[in-house]
Amino acid sequence: MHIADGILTTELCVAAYAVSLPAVYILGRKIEPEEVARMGLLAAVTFVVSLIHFPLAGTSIHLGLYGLVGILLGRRAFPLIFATLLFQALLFQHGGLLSLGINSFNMGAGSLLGWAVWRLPGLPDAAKALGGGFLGVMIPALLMAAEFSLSGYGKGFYYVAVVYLVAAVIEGALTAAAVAYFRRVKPGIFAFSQA
Amino acid sequence: MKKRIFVLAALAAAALSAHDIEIAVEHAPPAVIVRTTYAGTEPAPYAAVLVYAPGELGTEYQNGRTDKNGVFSFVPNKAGEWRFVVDDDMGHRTESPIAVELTGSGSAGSVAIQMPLPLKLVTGLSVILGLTGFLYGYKARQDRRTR
Repeated sequence: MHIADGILTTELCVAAYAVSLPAVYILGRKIEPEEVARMGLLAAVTFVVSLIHFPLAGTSIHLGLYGLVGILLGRRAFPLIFATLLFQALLFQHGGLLSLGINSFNMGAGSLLGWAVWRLPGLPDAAKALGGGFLGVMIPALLMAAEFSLSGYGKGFYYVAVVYLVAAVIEGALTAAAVAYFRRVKPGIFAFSQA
Repeated sequence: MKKRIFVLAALAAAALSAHDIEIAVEHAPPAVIVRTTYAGTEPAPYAAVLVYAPGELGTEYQNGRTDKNGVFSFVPNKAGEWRFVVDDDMGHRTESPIAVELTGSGSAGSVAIQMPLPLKLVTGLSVILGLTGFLYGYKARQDRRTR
């Protein structure tokens, strides 16, 4: 799901930057110290989780916890994702600076949609968390497939998006479990994302 | 704006769905053997490979695919910095220089590509937690000043 430089067209990458950079600014304004600590801890958790890979249908996938990040951070999820992708590009050469905008857009959209699902009224927490975690993976996967299609790679990448269905179901279940745990031991943790 | 970007960049760390193909180069003169993996763990089988000789930008010196175990080998005909491009046709792509000496020995051009998983884990966590602590202190101090 992490797109490297030189794969998508430059026009698409630039267009994604035009969306991602203003989003980072708008959604990252006036960060409080408590939010800094929370973002750092979530960054550490997702970093460790992302290093656990498992093979699936000829490729390798891993968890990203985008939905959970959205539920726990709210709008701060997008700037966090941008920052983490920048970190990865510079330190580990994952992705690249040209594709940073589009990767942030894809994954940030997944997180924000997970957050939006979480805020839906009238649904039980478990259903919202499950849906948020699921969409947190599927939205980036579908966006990526569409972008590859736009860049002239055909529609084969929709197959890859289908592969991510498995990861999405796992993430949905994990997100629901994490939300149930936090609701029990520290319900105040959801205050940020409700704002 | 700059300050915010800095704050955000410094918080960076979650490897959110990030795994390009990594390579490990083994020199077995006269051949160069390249092992490709996803994040240093699972091999990248049947990935498309292009190998460019030093100074060559157009036609590749060799092309092909990695084998079932993600391994590709080629026999360089001159010393210099070769360019190795691997793409699994599923969104994972890596381009890396490979230094080749006259004897056939050399090393991969990118240190980061060969970073082992434990080192990556320690490096990533150190940077994340260190910068988070620093930025937390910075923001808290800034808050106290404004009150």
